[in-house]
Amino acid sequence: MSGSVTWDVMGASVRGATHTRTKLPNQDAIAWYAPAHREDCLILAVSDGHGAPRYVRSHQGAKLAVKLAIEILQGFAADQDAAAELATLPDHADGRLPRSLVRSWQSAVRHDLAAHPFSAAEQKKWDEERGKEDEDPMRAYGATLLAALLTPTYLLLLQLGDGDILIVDSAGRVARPPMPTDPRLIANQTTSLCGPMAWQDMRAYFQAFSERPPALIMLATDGYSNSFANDSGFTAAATDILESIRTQGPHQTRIQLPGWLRGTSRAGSGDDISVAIAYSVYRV
Amino acid sequence: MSKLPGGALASRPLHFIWIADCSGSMSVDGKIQALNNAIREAIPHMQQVASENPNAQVMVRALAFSNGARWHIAQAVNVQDFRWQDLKAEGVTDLGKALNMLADVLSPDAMPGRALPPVLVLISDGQPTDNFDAGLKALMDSPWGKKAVRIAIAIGEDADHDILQRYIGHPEFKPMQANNAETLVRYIKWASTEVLKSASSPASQMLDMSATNVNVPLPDVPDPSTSPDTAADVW
Repeated sequence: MSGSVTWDVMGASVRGATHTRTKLPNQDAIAWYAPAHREDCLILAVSDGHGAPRYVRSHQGAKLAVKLAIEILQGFAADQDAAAELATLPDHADGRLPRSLVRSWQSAVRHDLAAHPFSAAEQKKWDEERGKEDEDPMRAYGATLLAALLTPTYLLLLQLGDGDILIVDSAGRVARPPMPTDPRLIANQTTSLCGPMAWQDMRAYFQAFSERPPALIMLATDGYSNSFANDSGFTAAATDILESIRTQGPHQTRIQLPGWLRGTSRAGSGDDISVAIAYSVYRV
Repeated sequence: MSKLPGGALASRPLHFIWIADCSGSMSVDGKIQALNNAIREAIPHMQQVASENPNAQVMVRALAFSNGARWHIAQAVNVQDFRWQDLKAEGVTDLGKALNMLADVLSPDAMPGRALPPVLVLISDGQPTDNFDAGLKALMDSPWGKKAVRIAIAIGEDADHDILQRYIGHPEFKPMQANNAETLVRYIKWASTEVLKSASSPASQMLDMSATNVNVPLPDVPDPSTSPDTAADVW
């Protein structure tokens, strides 16, 4: 089975309708690793930089988050001890991988701050908007992270903060990974890479493919699900995209995806939307 | 695919709730009529702000408290259809009951997870006559009540600032003191436009369970009216 399945990828990140109106940048970021030899592994990551005014560099925090996720998961996939880590990861959120992701991001942010101190305008905004306890300027980069590592034999998902991961099987049935839900993530509040002990908030899911792997994995920042009147409308989006890949082909779907997301933001949440999609391809 | 992927799209609901003191003291010196006039006057401004952000669906309700509490506008109404019927003042100040009723509509079952933080605007001229502590606890125990933007307007010199401060739950934000009709109009307009505008933008931030957390950046509060034409501090 494993020799006949490879993964392919598409994705888009669009500036939200509200951000366009208010002249804010797209504070999301997206990245993926898709080597020529797809049987190795495929890695996807999306990140949502916090939108509140004090997060003056959250768009850069999001870019750092996806870049580091790709690098660290590449190293993880190549590590001979990875299997041992995977056995403990879902039950031990303070495992090596979550710690590594959070520490690397926080270290990268501190380096970026040292190399590029706040501009006068950023400093003014930060001073005006930060809370009394919010004195660490690292928090100006606050962002979420959703990442997926896919190989022909297993799937590893990681999530810190809000956003959605959907898994679609070959029959078009949509499910969320069985990671614990976090009831605190409402009213624009989210766990974050910039939080203290942030790795403890990282949720993880590992699945070995004993049978046919999923047809599609979708990672999306919360601007996407928040755009639908209800959850079934959102999950239908993953089914519809899979259907488009099958009927119109990946190329046409890839071309249309940014326009779909812009239209969805406009008629929905108004937030930035980033969607990274991996879909399995059978080669007989 | 001609249509967008997925089901029906919708802007995010933003619940805006007036919580109005209708105790007998509100009938003194025309306070209740000043409140009715201020809210009515604010409506077109509120509708204008809402129309400028099509990605938030502002839904309005109103809760009145005196002898007990009752929904003055029970079914959340789209702000564009929002009309104000005058409140009348009579009875005591059962604020605790009102907060309990608020908690009921701010439960996870009653609010979709995709909603924006609700805005709760409390206007009062007196002291609670029932179990305020129990009502406040119920409100703060509800996930959406705790994360709501809680604004308080104190009318006249008998308003209990300590109570209103506990309802706000943030040391840096104080009840706004309205001692005349013009100031009340200013504060009502501020809450229904500037606060509404701020709450209707999807500005995420790091989760903070501390009492001092504010999940919507609050705009600067307007100064009280100093118009020479206004009789100073009539309440």
